[in-house]
Amino acid sequence: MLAELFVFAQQPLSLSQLAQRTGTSMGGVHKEVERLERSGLVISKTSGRSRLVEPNRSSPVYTELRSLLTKSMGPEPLLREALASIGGIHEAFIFGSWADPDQMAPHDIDLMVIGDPDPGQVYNVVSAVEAEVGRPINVVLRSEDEWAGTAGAFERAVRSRPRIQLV
Amino acid sequence: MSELDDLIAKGLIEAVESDGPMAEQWISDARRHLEAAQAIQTMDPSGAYVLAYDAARKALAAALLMIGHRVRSRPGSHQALAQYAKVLARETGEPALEQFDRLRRERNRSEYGSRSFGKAEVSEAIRSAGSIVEACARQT
Repeated sequence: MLAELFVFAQQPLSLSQLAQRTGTSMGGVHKEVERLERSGLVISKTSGRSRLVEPNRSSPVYTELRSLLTKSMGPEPLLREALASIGGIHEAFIFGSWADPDQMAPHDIDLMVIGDPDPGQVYNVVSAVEAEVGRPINVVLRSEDEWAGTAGAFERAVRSRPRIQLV
Repeated sequence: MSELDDLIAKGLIEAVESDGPMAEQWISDARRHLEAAQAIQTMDPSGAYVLAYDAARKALAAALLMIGHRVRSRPGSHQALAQYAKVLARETGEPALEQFDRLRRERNRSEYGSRSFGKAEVSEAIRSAGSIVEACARQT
């Protein structure tokens, strides 16, 4: 449930959405949310007949907890494992909003793959991860020479912003 | 309700008269776009990508026209075609059609400056678009 709230949710989630996403009963979700709210990790508000839950971003442990959950349960370990099965990858990293700890989980994930892997193979393993994390993953493929030699606006932006190294 | 009926009910696709000659024309336009994309890929990678995408888009529109439908001309029409590509992939067992949505997304991102294209990406896009065009040609 923490991973759903801290890693995957793009907006506050209702108790029934949480129950559906975690495969837990409403009673179980209710109890867990109460506990998390008492410990200060999440906050909730009532909207109409729903109770909407979201991470408590002013908690002193928010940043560390989100980073820990993302590293252990988010797309990172899945992508790392998927890409490890493909030859020819010199380097791979997540860039864009997903790699930026100050932003809320964005709709999609930007992935840079540098080397000369078979592109079809990369797209295949990435689309399996897409299905698992429930959001699109945009792959950018570059040969080592292209990455070292090009410096357009896009490449400059990628180089200057946070990244999560996978390979 | 079939998945195609569902797209029609959502107002994304509408019924028109089936038009074989027009569909064949679009398929041959698509093949020519692919040849052109191949010819310019080193000189203009993003232009080649856009052409390859457009070839795939026209071929899908041709497959749809053969069965008497077209995507409605409104914002989101390319996305509607991508949904149809998934439906057609399942119906025909042509996995190449599943690649269309990726081409669409990446082409969109390049239009908004969110990416550029490397050589391997462009040649893979031309190859994928080629498979899509031939899969659609088998429907016409």
